[in-house]
Amino acid sequence: MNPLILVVDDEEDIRASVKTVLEDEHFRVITANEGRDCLTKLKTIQPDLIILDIIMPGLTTREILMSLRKMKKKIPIIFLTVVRLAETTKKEIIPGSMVDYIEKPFDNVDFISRVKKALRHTMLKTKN
Amino acid sequence: MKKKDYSIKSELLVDPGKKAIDKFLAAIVKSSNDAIISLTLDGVITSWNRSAEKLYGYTAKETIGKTITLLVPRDQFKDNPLALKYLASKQFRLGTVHHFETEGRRKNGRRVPLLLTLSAIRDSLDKVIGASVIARDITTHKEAEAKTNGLAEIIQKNPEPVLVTNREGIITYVNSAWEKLTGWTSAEVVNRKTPRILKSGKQTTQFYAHFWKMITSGKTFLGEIINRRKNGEEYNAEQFVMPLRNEQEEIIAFVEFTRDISERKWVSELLRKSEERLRLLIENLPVCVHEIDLSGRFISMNPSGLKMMGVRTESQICGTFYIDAVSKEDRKRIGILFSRALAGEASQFEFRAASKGEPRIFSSSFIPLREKSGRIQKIIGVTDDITQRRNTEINLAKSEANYRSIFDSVSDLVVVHEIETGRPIDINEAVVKRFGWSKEEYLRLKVEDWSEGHPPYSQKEAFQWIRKAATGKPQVFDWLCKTRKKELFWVEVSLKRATINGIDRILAVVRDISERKKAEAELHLYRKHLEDLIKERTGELEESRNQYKTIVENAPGMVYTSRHPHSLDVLGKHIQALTGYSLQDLQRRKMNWLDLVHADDKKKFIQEVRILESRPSSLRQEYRICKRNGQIIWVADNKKSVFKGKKFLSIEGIITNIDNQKKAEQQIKDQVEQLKSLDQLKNQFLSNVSHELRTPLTPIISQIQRIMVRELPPDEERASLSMILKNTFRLDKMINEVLEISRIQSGRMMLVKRQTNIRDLIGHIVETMEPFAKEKNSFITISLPKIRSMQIDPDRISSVIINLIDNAIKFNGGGEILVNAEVKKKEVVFSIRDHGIGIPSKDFSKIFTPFFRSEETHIYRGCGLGLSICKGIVEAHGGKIWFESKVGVGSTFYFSIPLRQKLEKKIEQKEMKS
Repeated sequence: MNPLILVVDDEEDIRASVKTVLEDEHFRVITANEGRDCLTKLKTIQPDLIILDIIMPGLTTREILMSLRKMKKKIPIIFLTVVRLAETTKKEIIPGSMVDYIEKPFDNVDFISRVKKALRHTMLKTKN
Repeated sequence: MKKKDYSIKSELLVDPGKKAIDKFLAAIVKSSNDAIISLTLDGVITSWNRSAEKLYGYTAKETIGKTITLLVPRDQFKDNPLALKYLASKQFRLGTVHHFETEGRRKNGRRVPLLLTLSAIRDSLDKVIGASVIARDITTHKEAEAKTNGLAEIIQKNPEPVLVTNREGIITYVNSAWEKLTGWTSAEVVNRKTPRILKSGKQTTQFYAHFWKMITSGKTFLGEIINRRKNGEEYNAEQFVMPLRNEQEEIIAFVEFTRDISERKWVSELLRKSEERLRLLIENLPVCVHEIDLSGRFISMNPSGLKMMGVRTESQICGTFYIDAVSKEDRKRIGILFSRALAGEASQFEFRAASKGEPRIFSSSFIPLREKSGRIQKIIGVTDDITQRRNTEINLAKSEANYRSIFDSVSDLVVVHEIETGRPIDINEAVVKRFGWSKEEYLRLKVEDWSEGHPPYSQKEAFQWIRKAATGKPQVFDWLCKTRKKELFWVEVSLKRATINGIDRILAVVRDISERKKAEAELHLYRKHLEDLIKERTGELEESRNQYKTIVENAPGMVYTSRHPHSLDVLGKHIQALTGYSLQDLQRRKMNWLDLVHADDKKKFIQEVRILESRPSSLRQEYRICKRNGQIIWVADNKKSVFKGKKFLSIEGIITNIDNQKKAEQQIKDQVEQLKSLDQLKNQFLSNVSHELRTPLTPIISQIQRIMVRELPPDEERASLSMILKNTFRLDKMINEVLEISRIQSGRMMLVKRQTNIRDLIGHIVETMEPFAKEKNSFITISLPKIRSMQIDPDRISSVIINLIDNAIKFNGGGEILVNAEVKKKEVVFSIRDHGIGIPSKDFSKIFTPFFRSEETHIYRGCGLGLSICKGIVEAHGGKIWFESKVGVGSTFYFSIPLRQKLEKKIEQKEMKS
């Protein structure tokens, strides 16, 4: 089965756009519009990767990461940022939880290769 | 009756038939407590009972057959003892019974007070043949009597202070006079020891020891003592202390009588002192002071007198006659004066002394001294040796004879003038020497010849001087003389009327003062030079002061000196210009410079100026001062401290107004700050803008790439393109907002106003916005005013309303959004109310700041420009924008647009033209 990716972004168009780009590469995609939605969905599904917008209304990134930890879900995460990771946003990220980060707007090819790289990385880890 | 009794008794004695009764009687006599003794008429003892034995100490054997004198104290022997006297008396024979008190003598020699009853013993013929004596010891009785009558009475009634102590000196009694004298009450002192209370410390301990020893040995003490009153005052007292004995002759107490003699003491002390003074005076007088008794003999003489008389001690002169000191020639005269003195007449006289060597002359006096009674007691005299004085006078008289020799020998030039004509008639040798003319030549000269010759040194002036001197008033003046060799020289002439050889003359004593004159001239020159110097120096000073003043007046600030860093002595007029206070104002208000320094700068000022006093140093301070009108200005204070050696002298400085400079600086600072914050805003703006612009760019780029790379199914491609288009519009809107805010901030926003129907405008907006509201479960209700149209920029007002409704939808979270417009006074007030999250009060002030996004709202997309653009647009219309909000309840945004915008019209017209 193709890997399942959870895309979390509050901008509807970004969500939709990212979904199309990933589906073009035959990934299965589920979207969530903010943190709480994301956590709810994680109760029923086990994605192979989460693409998470770093600034969203509702729960903060840190809160989402803490909840993930509580749920004992070890899922690789790629953060979506608009600019380079600022100091304030860096603090939000719990060390070890991030695999990669992608700046918006992005090149589709670069985006897909990073996604695939992240997936390979986790697959190797789980095999070992 | 008594007589009868005793006759019965004697009958009993002789009647032999009554021998039993005799025996009975003898037994009574024998056992009686009273001593009963019978005597013959000669006083020979014939019977002696037990009690007699007890009383006198003699047994019957020792006394019977002896005369009664055995029982009488020896000191009564001279005259016959009383008992014998009575026995021999007529009354006794006639039957009188004698009761009397007397003293008896015991065997051991001691006296005993007795009450004796003496009665006659008769034979049968009623003839007196003997006597019976009944003796009773009355010692106890006597003692009691002494105590009551003697002691108590004396003590209590004594007007003089009395104190009684026991053997140990403990006070047992004081009378009221004593209380009065000392201030102590009886209760306070009884049972206390005397010296403790009364000791003044004036007597030595030896004195008390002696005193005590004396009275305890039974002697009485009489003397003066200084004691102390209760209040600490001392008093001189005359004390009489007497021991008190009991029957065994033991001392049982001491009685002390006191007499306060303080006043008496004081007066006598005063008298003594004045006497002492007089004595000293007399002793040190340089004249002879002596006393003579009425016989004319010396009684006393002071040391000066003894010296005058050539003797060493007073004893050598006392007893000698006054008259013996007088020369024989004068004795008669002095004798008369002395006899007059004895009659009370004082006199003063001179006499020649009776001396062997040089004849001496004495001046003397007789002053009779009377007693209180008026009788002349002695003669006092004061004598002085006046020999020398007399000699001087005599010599003085003789000296005239020596006139010539003196006249010629004096070094001063002396000229004798005739009083009437003023013509010189005599000159001394000194004149001849100085002028160079002989005496004869000189006397022929006119005044002009030997004087400078011109007024005021001519004949006329010379005669005026002489005439003045002739009145008897000595004249002293300077004169310019001329010698034979025409040499001029200065003299000081002293003209005096004098009697020479009995004739009145004018005596001119001329003193050469050419040297003095020279010195004077030099002094004058020197003084002139000094004056010139001073003038010059003053000029210099004046000049330098003027220079200084000029500098001070024209200095670019206020020049000052001060002795204390907190004050200043301002020079020049600048203080008023600088502070608004004149120097007088400051002095009147007692203000120093520190009082003018701004409160916020004072601490620093005080701290910084400290160094100036500690060592020579300079300091530049910038601080604010408060002017009289309340204005606060910046000044620069450049100063340095001046020291003399290690001692701080003063501070010199200049204070300049640097307010403009400071304000310019401040402006620049403010501008820099503004620029900084603007720059920060700009950076923030750029970061925000780039962030916001990138968000729509993300789907645009991704979708364009998809379309370009892949062959998408037609409906998917359309969806992709529509997403691109939508985000492109969004991007455009954002760019417009950014441009709008930059126009607002740079003041370059141009309104395009036209008459607009507000109802239509709002209706249209709400129509377009409703679908978006619906998306968020909100609905919009409208309440519109009656007014139809007003002059506004419809596009911009629309964007304001859209923005506010958009915000309301964003934050409402469902429910009603009320859009309202109503006419209030001269403006239309628009309001958009939501029931959203509300705005926290901490953000109230920042809500209209560009790029501000509340922490609570930053999660909502936007540049943070919306409200600041609204504000800019509303203000450009001459209106206001504001809000009311409560967290959790909702917010209402208001903006008002004036109905008439006169100012705006002009701008509008201009805009239209351009």
